[in-house]
Amino acid sequence: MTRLASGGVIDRQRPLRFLFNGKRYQGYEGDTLASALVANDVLIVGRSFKYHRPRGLLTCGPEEPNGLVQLVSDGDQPNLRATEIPLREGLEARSVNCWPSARFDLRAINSVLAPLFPAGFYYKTFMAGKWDFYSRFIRQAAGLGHSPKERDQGRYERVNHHTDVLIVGAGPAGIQAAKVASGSGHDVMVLDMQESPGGHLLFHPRQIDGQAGSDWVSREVGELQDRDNVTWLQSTTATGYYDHNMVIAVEHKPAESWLKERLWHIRARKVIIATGAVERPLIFPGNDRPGVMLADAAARYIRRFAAVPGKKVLIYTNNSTPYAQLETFKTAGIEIQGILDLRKNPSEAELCLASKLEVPVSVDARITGVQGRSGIRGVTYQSGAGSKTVRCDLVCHSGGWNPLIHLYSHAGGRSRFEQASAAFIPGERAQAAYPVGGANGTFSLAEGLKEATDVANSLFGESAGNRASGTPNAPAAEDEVPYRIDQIWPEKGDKGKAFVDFQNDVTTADIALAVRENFQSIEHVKRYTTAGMAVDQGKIGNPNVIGLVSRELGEEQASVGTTTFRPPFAPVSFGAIGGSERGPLIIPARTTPITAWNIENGAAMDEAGANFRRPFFFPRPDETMEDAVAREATAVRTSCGIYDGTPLGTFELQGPDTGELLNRLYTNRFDNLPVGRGRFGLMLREDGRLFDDGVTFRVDPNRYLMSCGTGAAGAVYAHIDRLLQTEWTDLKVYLVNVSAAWATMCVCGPLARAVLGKLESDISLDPTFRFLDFRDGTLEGINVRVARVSYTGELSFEVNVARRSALKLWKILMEAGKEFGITPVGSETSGVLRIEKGFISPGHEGDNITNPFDAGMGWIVDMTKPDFIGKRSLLRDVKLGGERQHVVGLLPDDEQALVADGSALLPAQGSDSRSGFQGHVTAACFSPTLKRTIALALLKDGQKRHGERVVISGLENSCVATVTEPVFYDPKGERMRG
Amino acid sequence: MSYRVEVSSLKDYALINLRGGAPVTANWEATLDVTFPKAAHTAVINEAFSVLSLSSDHWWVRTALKNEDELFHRLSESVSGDHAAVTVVTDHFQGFSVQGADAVAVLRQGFSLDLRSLDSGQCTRGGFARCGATLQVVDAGMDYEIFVEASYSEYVERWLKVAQGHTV
Repeated sequence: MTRLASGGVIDRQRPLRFLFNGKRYQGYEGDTLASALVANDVLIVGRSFKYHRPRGLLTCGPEEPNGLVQLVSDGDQPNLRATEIPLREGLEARSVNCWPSARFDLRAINSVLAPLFPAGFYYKTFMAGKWDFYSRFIRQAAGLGHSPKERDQGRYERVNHHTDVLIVGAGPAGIQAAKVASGSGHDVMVLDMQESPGGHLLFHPRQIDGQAGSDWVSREVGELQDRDNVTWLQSTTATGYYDHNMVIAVEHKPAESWLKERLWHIRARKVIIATGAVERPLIFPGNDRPGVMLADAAARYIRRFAAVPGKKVLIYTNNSTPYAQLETFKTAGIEIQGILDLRKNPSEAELCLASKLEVPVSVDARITGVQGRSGIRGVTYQSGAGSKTVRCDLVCHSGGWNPLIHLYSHAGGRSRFEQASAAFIPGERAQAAYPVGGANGTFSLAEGLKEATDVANSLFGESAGNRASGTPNAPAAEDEVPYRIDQIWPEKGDKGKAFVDFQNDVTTADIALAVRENFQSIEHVKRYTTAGMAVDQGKIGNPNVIGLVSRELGEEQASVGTTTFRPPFAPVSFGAIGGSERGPLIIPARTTPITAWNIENGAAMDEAGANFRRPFFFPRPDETMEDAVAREATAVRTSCGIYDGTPLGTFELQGPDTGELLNRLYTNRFDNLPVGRGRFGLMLREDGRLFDDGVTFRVDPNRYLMSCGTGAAGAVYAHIDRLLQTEWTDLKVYLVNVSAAWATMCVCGPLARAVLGKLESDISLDPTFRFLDFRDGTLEGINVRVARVSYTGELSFEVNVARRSALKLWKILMEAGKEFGITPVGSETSGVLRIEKGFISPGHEGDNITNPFDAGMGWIVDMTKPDFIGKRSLLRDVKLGGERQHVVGLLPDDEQALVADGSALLPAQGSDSRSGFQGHVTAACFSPTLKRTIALALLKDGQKRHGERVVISGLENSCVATVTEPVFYDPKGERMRG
Repeated sequence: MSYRVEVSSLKDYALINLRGGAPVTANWEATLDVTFPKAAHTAVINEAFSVLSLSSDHWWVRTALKNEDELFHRLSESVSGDHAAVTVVTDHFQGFSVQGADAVAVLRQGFSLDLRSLDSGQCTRGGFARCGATLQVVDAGMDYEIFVEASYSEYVERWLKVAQGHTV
């Protein structure tokens, strides 16, 4: 175990035991899984995706590409980064993508077969033969980790939050910006993905305002957290930046004990992005071997966790950063074998730091090979002095810094290449997003603090017109060595694999091949090679990919451009996305006052549109669905049925121009509808296609009550509201949604009148109560509106009642109907009754092409009206003529035939005038009344083809049928008018 | 463990929906002997009823259920023959009371509105838990009432329990 005796934030009094790949280890409170593995000298943490090469930890943060693990002990979660998993007692994790183990992985055979797997090999290889053959093997090999088998017992919450200022990142720049913004009285929210604030000050000893950086952080953050206008969240990752300055963040450790994670939807007036930067790897042969680690990551493991990643280190760099870390390595007892600097001229300050610690520096030096497979034995390098080999067990390398511009990019901001820092930094701004510090390419602590101060002052201070308590100055800080970098690419022809994307196993050779194959756009290279497309989303590798592409193309990096960063910045759990809306809350389910009764009485429930669930049918013990539907349908045809029609949309229209409005909305007239009567109406879209239908009643001269289909209710309301607000502002009409105010129960069947007649009522049910009349009154003392409307083709009374009285009245009706065999009816039965009657349903027979004439509903279209929505399109249809699909009935020869909705219609044998697809079945059922199968269909020229024979071709069954009128039962409508 | 919030269904209230321009508003004001709130998101509250401004020509009058019929007729008659709409919507909506120190912690799970901007006595409408709701602030930060379409009432009741931290 390589743990320092002192230092770091770990609590040595609280040891924690954990299992990794089945082996028991010990860490401490304050460790991450990664730091504990480093301290336990575990080098191999996983296997690479394509070649299954052994991999060790490369970084210390969320950008980690190699340390992906399956967290077995906490819900069996796949693909979590070991660098982000806080250690706890009993934790168990396993490496992914290896079999049987990470140390010995049989699939490493891929590494031997590597020449067969160049970039884009799958595009080339799997062109021949059948994909089905390859897919079996590819599916087996694909994916990292496995999905949890158990339901996640964790609880999640999704919240909305508004703030004046959102600051992402609580490093020195973020803290300073928060200080200025909150001091000016604005509401400030600070998010930081680390467990503790401070950013890189957590890992590197620096001085600010003459005190230790960590003390400065403690003091400033303490003061900020005490302010009422500051909301401070640690362990919270901002994962995406969306339109209107909305940032989504995941809080990983909510204070509420019952919550596992909380997803924040944050709407901010201004967003300060202080996310810092991550170190970039250098490209050299063997740069993926376990024991090759980014220099800053190694320093972080030492400083933060007192975990020492090696005994003999060789440092490899193209910039000044590692020089400032020499002391960290030295004080940790690591033997520094030397610095290989790709640059020819390191600065005096850098050389001075090396010299002070007696570290030899080789300039213009280049690693040509790494010895060792599962760990490092040594490194071979080339310099002016020739080729040399150095013994070491740790290579710490630094290729410079990548500003974390992901959120800025999500917001639509552009990036630009800055030569001095050899990095893509924020360019043209798209939203109120203001990057500061490392995220803006300002890698100097002093300059970052000044930049944060200046930006915050300009946005919120006195200069921005805000009442501020003075304009704060930036605290003083000094950089040990000024940041200098020379971007130097590896020599072409180096032997051995040099990786640019560690997670997807993309090498320099793959990039070169892609360019040779004429992929010139960086977006195409990305997709062809998959560079930057893994879980780490190219956080560390992308700039190297762009650099290599520019080299291969012979262009400047600035002209190659960047790929687009898209949310999420870091993976988000499905639990956090779903929040509390799971299980019974997965849809906002709507109910009627009768829903509970229906369920208690055994209804099989089904989706009914607009988030309603309705009874499908009411099975009795040992009854099949077919039996139940037949029984219910027979009851309606011979005695009495009852169903809950509450989900239908109901709108009240009031005003002197309501008749005119309805004239324009429907194809028929409504201004001449007498008070006390209802009328069926058909609503079309602008293009003349079926939209909705329903009955509208005239309650008084200026008040109408409109009903419409359940599923269409929202769209119909929005349609009318839009027309009144934007198109027909001259019409004096108010529209009020009263859908849920009324419960509707439909008593239907030849004995319906007898059932209602049993009740104490002031409503006369005598023959003067005609079809489509309505009457107001009471039933058993309950205020009701009874209407003669029929959706079944039988004598029907639709009883409308205030929601509060609905269940009571329903039970009264059930009791009254007992002696008449009243039977509750489900929607499947209603559908059967509809098909028997040939009633058109816009949801079935309307297929976005059907017009009313096609549907045989010309009788309801008054083309003499000055105008109605869809009239012009209907005129065009009529003028164009030609062959259209019409609604027809179908009677299969086999009266018991099973016909599926959607079955195709084909010409019957012997038909010489037609060929090919003729139409399709829109609805089919076995009619209990007619004792045979019947269907409605849309058929080309159907109205002229009654008596013809067609083939109904379904996926499972085919049969021959005769084309008929679409009304199979009571064609004159005598029963419903009776 | 849960948030410090009490949620209950509101009972025995009546809601009357008013739509109308300035001329009819004056009639209603005379009928109720109160000046209607004209500014957005405001309400007038007295012992007998409260009037919520929902838009420039749209109000809710909320009163005790026992007054529903009488108030509806008075308001209707006061604008008889005018271009106005008076509709009883008591049954169309279900009200819930959300009270307690963590009321905002519960409500912000459903509302994307900036609840900070609403003071006591104010009201507004907006999306709530994937269905619409009207919100009345009784005591900012502590006491709120929300009204949802009654068909969503069982869902919202369950949603509020889960949002409080309870298991359903």
